[in-house]
Amino acid sequence: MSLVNDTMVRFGRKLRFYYLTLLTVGTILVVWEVTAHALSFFTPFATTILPPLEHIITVSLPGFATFYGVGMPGIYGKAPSFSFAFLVLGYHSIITFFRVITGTLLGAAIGIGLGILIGWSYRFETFVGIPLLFIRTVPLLAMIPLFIVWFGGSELGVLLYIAFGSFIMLVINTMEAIRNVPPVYQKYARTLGATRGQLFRTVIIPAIVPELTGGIRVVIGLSWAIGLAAEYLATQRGLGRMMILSEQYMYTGRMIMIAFLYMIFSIGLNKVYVQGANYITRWVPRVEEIRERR
Amino acid sequence: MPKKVKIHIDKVSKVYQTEDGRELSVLRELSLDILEDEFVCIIGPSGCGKTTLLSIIAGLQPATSGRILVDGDIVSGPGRDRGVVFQEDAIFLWRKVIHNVEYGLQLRKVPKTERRKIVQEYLKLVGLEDFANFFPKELSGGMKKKVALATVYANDPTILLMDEPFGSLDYPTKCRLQLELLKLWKTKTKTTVFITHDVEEAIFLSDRIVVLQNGKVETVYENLLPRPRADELRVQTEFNKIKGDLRGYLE
Repeated sequence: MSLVNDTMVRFGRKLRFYYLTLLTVGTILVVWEVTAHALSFFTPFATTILPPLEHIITVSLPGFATFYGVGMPGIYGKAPSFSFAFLVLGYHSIITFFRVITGTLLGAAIGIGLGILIGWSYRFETFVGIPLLFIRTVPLLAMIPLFIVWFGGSELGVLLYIAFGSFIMLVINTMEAIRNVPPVYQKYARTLGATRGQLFRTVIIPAIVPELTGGIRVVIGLSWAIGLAAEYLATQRGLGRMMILSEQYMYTGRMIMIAFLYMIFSIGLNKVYVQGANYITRWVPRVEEIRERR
Repeated sequence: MPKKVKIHIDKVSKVYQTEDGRELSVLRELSLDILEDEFVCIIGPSGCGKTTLLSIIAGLQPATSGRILVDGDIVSGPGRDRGVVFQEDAIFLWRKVIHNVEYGLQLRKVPKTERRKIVQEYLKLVGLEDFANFFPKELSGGMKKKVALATVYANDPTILLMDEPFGSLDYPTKCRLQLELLKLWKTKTKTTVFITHDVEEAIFLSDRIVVLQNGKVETVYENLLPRPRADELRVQTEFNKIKGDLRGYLE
């Protein structure tokens, strides 16, 4: 009986929570819609400033078919249709996805590897410390023109740029994480007979994992942003390119559509990542719930 | 037959440089012999140098002057002949209990089947055989101490160094763990140096009690209470008499 009650109470709480969420989202959409329609009384450019929602879905979305063939195989331009629009968006999404993931992975591998090497050897730190400090202080976005000069608008350029951004963040993150490993772990391992190599493999590396998973999570978010920035400037393909193209023709609805896609992708990727990271760090003691109960 | 000297501490001094450049003497030409298979407790007020002494024996930090011999060899670094149970929880949070206990054996590349046999034996000795596949975060403070104890024991050192291991535990847990420790010590006797600031704990566990004061040995007390020792001992007259005697040195 109490089990049934409990379930019902929990379900009720959940419903109330979703209800509130729906209420906020609904309010935003209604305000949007009302503003958009109200605007059309004052200006003929209302759909360019703030397109109504039905416009985004029925006009802007199929409109992407007119970008068919840009940066992708096929004859340029199709009449607006959902099927070609999905083809266009799908194609560029895959390109962007691929860049973000491989770029982040590459940068993470080099950054974490270098961070561990620096933690391993003092001499190595004196060797790379100063160049690293220089690179770190260069604003990331200011490096885009440099990457364009070096790599043109090539696939490799964008990929390396994302990798570069991830690398810088994670090398610092790894160094910091190693410094934060509690000394008692190292003392304990050494008294149990661990050599320096064993100490690194069995204590330092597992101990830094929770801090790194947090860092990588931030880096994935950053990779979406800097990947988009690089695509604006340098490439013929990818969602960033679609964004710039829409901007050139003043298709505000399409720009909002792409922003929305970015949102979906980055939330989705984050969700998948967090699931994996939570499993890997399941040994970390956590406070169950710090916030007030709902 | 007089027992062999296991740890020979020979005029050990330790001086720390403080932040403002002054020198702080923690140990002052301290000499002490610890015999084989003996259970020695070192007590003293905080700041008397007891933890420093233990970490020098463990080889985790060097002495400023003097030397320590273990079985006649000079201590120059940590080694698996001297297992340490620390005051803080040092067990690895990312390893399940069973993998924590086998850690030392894994370092020495003991084959897996043999490793598992040894681990099972020690898990049983400390009463944790049902918790083999738990992560440390799922254990109580007392159980974590037992994991540390089992890990150090499974690594088979000849000397057990303990630095206020039960200091953070509540009284009943502490009493239970003291009994467990004596049981372990009886089945697998090792030379044990146990640091504590708890006089009662020292009396309950030890063969000899060394009182440290200002980095020197103030006195060495022969604790002749009979073994095996049980909880009832804690309220007996002889026990309290020793407590009274020792209190005098600690004031």
